[in-house]
Amino acid sequence: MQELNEKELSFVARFFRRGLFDPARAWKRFRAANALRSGYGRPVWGYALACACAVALIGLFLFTRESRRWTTTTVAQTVQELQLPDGSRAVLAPGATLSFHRHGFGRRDRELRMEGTVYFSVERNEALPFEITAGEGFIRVLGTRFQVATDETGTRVDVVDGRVFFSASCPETGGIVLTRGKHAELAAGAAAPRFCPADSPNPAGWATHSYQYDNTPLTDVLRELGAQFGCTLSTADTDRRLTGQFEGEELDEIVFLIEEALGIQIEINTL
Amino acid sequence: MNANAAIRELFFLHYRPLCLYALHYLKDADAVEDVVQEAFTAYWQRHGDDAPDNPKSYLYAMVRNRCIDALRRAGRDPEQVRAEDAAGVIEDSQAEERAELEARLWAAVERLPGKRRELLLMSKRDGMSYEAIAEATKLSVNTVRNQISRALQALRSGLNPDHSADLHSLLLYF
Repeated sequence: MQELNEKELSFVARFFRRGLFDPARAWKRFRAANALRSGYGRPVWGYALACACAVALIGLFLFTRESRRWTTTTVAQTVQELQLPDGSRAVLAPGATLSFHRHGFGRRDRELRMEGTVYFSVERNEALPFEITAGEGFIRVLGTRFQVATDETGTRVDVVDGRVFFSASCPETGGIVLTRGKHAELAAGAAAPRFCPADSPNPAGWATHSYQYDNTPLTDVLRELGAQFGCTLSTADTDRRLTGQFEGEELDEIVFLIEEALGIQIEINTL
Repeated sequence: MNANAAIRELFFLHYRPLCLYALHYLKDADAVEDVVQEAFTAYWQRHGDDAPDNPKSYLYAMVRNRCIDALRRAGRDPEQVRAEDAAGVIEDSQAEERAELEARLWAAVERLPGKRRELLLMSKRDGMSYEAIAEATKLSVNTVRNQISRALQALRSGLNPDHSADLHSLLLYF
């Protein structure tokens, strides 16, 4: 077994900066500088074509938006927090899109359209319900905290706090009312949503930065954190269970707290 | 394997060790990244489709020559810098092995949870005692000791991936 050599460790520690000497980042720089084909065979002009299409689509999108007077926020790579004109807060996951009326939102209506995954913290206003159209789903609330996620398979709602009405956008039957901790799903093409167990204990943890566990198997905890932070987490103590609330914006902080709580070691492997 | 795939594999395999290798000469992280990029670019321009027999040694030689040039331009004696650093001149192959070891250590430090990494760096980089770290971080001395001990354990596992895999398999059986 190779032992740690104090001299090499001191040298690494002396110069260590997170993200420095990252081969993936450096490779992008090298590839750009040398006009290499990206990946394995996809030519650079493919990107140029994709960019041109994207520009054309954005132009069309902007034109449409202008004509309908909708304000649209699209998130490409990072989580983005948005303060809405009525004081409500929306946190958009990467790739999400949110639109609302440029003039009148919060005064005449509180209507939104969205795609992707968005967490909402809604200011209470009984006179103006907060209404979301997401895929084939329709959500109405007065004031609460919840997450809506939509993709080609359907629309899902997770309630963190309060009450949420959830139905199909063209309802043939009535909708359902979800309360704190409940999860419901409207499958693509379905007439109405149905209650079902959430995929993980804290589906909106990425936006609330709060993770609550109640005798949860540690393997489930690590799977949830890994999925939300884009990495894999592993431990030798797979039979342990976790109870408690852990708050933090960075995975390292949360992992540290869990390690301290259980006296175990957790390995973070970036993908 | 086509030329693009080959240079990509070479790049991902040797980029970080080459940076650590150059860091012993230049002691400047930004300059190091530039030198290693230049070396890969020159390698690609000369040998795009026709790789030399030993591309690894070739790359190390290119990086070493560029470091020496950079030191000469800065008015420093490369031999002196090298001797000071290695506590005696070491063979090229030893320097390459050392760079690979340091690259594995670097990756293992990067994988540590943030707080644990911070405590380790305070100890190994800043030379602080456990007591001083405890005072600075408002943690108990015991926690600091435990965390640094676990960090070192994780680094050892990072240097010995096969051993950790064996250990993991054993744990699955017991």
